[in-house]
Amino acid sequence: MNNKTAKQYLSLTVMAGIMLFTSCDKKKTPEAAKGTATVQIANKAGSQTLVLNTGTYLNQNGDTFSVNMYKYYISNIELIREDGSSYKEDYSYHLVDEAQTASKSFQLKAIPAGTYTKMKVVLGVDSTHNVSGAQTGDLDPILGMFWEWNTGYIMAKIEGRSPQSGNTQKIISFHLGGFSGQYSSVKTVMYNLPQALNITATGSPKINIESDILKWFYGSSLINFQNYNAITSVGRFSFEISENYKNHLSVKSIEP
Amino acid sequence: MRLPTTHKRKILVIASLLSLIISTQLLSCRKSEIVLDENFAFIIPTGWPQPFYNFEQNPVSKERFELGRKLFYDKQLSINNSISCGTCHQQFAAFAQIDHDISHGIFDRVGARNSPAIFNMNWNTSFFWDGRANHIEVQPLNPITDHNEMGETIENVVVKLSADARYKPMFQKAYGDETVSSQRILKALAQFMGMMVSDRSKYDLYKQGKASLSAQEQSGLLVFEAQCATCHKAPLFSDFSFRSNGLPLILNSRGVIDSGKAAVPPFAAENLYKFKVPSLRNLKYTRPYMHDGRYTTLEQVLDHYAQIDPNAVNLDPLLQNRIILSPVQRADLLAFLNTLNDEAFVKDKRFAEVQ
Ligand code: HEC
Ligand code: HEC
Repeated sequence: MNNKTAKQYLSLTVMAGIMLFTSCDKKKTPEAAKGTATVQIANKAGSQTLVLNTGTYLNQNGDTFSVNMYKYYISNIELIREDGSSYKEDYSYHLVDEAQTASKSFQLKAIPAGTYTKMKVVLGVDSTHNVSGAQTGDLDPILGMFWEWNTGYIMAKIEGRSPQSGNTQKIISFHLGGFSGQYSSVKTVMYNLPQALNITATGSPKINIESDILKWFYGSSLINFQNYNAITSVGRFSFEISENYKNHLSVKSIEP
Repeated sequence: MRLPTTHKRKILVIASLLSLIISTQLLSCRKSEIVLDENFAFIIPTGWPQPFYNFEQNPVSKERFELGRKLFYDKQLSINNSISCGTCHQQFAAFAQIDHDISHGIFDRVGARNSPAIFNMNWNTSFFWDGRANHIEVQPLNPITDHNEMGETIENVVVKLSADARYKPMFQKAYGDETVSSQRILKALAQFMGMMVSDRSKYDLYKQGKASLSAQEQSGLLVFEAQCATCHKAPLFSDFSFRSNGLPLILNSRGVIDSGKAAVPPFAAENLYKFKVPSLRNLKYTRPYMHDGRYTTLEQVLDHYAQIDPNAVNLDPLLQNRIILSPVQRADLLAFLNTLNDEAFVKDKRFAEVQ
């Protein structure tokens, strides 16, 4: 066997070896310790806990409102260590729905042991998964977060009422969508964790996250419900709100 | 590739080793056994470009195709179980809707546009006259939920089909278990529609060297290449772009002017009155023509191209000088267009409703 064929042989065998070990999750060789962390989400309106239907809240403009639906996506969760290395959650799509308690808590699994200081997420659904055909799990179109008339996900949705609404039925309805172009509402945000997150094989730390619904209505533009009460497609107005909404989440604390 | 035999032998050994490993891997990893009919495959016709959709994440199988076929003709996809996809997309019309300028849905509600033909969908880069759907797998969600078409919800379709005993063995065979889900429904519909390839027209046989065009058809081909081929690009006879061919602006069934691609948010004035260039295959079966079915004959279509208003908003630059043909050129062009009709496709039993 000459040198070149030997090399070919070797590389093919290595390839075969890689296939043998990577194609099946179940047969993985033992690896460094891994652990889990729970993400716990609380939806708020300022300092008040968000209560659907019965709670009333005041936006920055002084309009009162109540909420009967609050849903949003968090995707592509990534935990980052001091040295920049990171853990990325597999198929990371989470629909948080205030009406579904179970949706407000989920586990990040198989995180390599270590200390993490930052967290990166995509608010909404990344553009790839808006153009990849029929999805399942939290991206299933039966969950009502999909625009079938202008293909793509609704990244976040508020439905409610406000006496100040310019709508004749006093409805407020904000559906943020659009995954590409100048009005995209997909936002990537990075959070410094308030305390270091230590992952060990046995620990069960908690990442407490809060969403403040009031943040949708101020920041980059002050929203009044007289003029802004129904945003249900992509455009300049949805973009203005999305520039506020990108601040709606914050990491409050880490419980070891 | 020319290789010395010893190398060939070694490569053969390695290749068989590899395939052995891969196949044992596949067997041991597979969650449930799905037996695929190996003769059933999506074949890209010779000389055609790569399709935009090649069943990535949706491996073709006879069982999934058959499930898609059943779904396509199932009226349970509409709210009152009265119409199916096949109601508006009829095989004898190359899956357009014959003689309906605009479509008719549940409770006789009328739509605003003409049902386009369905074939060679895998080469389309977007769907509908205005391109508002970006993927063949999610496209059906629109007709299912459209108020004027099927008026249903996908949740409820899942509920109805889950309760229908006839579907249990079909989902079982297609996906390994009986679970009905939106994803399974949508992927099966994509298989049925994606497998509808129209590539057996006289023109196709001519390209393969199996038939010849008459002198008139040959001349027509030249007219076509000079006047139409940039937009209606062979072999699909569309470049799938959005353009205005200068149709006079008229009120549609809703009493408004259809703004075409500009109706898809976010609004952009440069998209006004632009529509997806349709394929010119199977015109014999797909009348009436244009997004609102305003023309019933190809003569009328050619009359339009000869009379375009050069000041039409967003008129495509290619049509600035109209397309003025002599009577002979017209006849030749029509003869050529006639070679694009694919009778084998509209009669293909694989795509018919199961009786
Ligand atoms: C009520 C009649 C009607 C029904 C029912 C219907 N369609 Fe359609 N279909 C249409 C019309 C009209 C259009 C064009 C709409 C537009 O462009 O705005 C269309 C467009 C399409 C297209 C896009 C073709 C292209 O070239 O872009 C596909 C694919 C399609 N329909 C598949 C389906 C499927 C699958 C179903 C069943 C789930 C279905 N249709 C049900 C009328 C109908
Ligand atoms: C500048 C691009 C362009 C050129 C050149 C062009 N077309 Fe078209 N054609 C279109 C567009 C866009 C439509 C759809 C318009 C609509 O429905 O609003 C269309 C529609 C048609 C239709 C209707 C098909 C259907 O299924 O409804 C026919 C037939 C047609 N063209 C034939 C021709 C012929 C023949 C020529 C050459 C003489 C030609 N076109 C040249 C862009 C073009």
